[in-house]
Amino acid sequence: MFAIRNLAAMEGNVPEGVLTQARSLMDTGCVVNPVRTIVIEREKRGLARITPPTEDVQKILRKTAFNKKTGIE
Amino acid sequence: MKYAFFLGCLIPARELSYEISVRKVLPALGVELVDMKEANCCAPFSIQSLDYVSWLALAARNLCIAEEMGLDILTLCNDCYESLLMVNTVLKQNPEVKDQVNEVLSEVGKEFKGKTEVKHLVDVLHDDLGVKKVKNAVKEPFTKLKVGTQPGCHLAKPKRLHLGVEWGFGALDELVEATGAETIEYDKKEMCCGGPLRGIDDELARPLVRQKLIGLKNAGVECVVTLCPFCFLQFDLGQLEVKRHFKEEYNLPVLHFAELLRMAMGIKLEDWEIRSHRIPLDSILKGRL
Repeated sequence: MFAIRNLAAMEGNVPEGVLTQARSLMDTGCVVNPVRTIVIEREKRGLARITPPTEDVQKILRKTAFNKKTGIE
Repeated sequence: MKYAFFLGCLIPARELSYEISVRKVLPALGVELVDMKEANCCAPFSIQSLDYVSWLALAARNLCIAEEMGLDILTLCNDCYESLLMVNTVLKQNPEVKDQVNEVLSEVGKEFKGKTEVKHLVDVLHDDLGVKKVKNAVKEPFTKLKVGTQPGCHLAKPKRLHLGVEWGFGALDELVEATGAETIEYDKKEMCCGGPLRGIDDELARPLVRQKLIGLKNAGVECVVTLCPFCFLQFDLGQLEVKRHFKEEYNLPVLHFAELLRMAMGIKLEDWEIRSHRIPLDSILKGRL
């Protein structure tokens, strides 16, 4: 099942919403990123800043050729 | 009892009251949470559909961090739970796949060894701590509150990794009842709420949650309690969308289970947390402010 889905993705059959998630993952290391008000709210409440390891995520995704397979780079 | 605390993307970015409630409730029950620094996106199932090995490697990097901490992972998100649990299982059972993933992970100086377990909040509350201990911590029970539970699909499926739908759904019901509330059966309880389709196919997602809302309302439910951040969004924000598109109003307050337990333990929600719910909580907060 995964293989069929992956083949479909390589042929460009991907919903735009999923591609948006993939781009966000590649660019920021996260699929969902906090809006500014949440960043401020976290700080106010003494919660740790969200600092995804973007560089590591990009290294992994380039190694697996995710960026080429999905056409996001 | 100590866990590597994995937040994922959605909860710290959108649902702070869930995160804060867990940070208050679990230590009060004797559980220590150690934040996983430098954790990455889990990665969700949409990434698995795009490229299986990328999905395995991203999730495995998180498992490696927990291994380095010498702790099991605790996650609050059903999507993260499913990804981390599935990848942990696949890599432990398939040495060839593990080698392939470790080759990718060598790029970032990590190696998956298979020495951690993945737990959801419900595993910790229901199994590790036990319903009795949770019940004993309740000081202000929600007597007479009629609750419809929505554990979330990924908690119970696929069956090969879990104990089955009955366990996933039954565990939350038992925990809700430990807070003094009454759980109510409703039509379409085991159906997906459509949460994973949000932002991908809203036209399909909306009727799914509508069907569930109809079942909940007809059953006389007063409040929806969920374990999943996607279900939460779908029921809370989704009710406003259903109102706009179908001209139907349900006004069913939605709570994360951690919020319900927190209030039952006598730890109040703050004003800004109450306001973060799109459907007002007035009916369940009577006498608790």
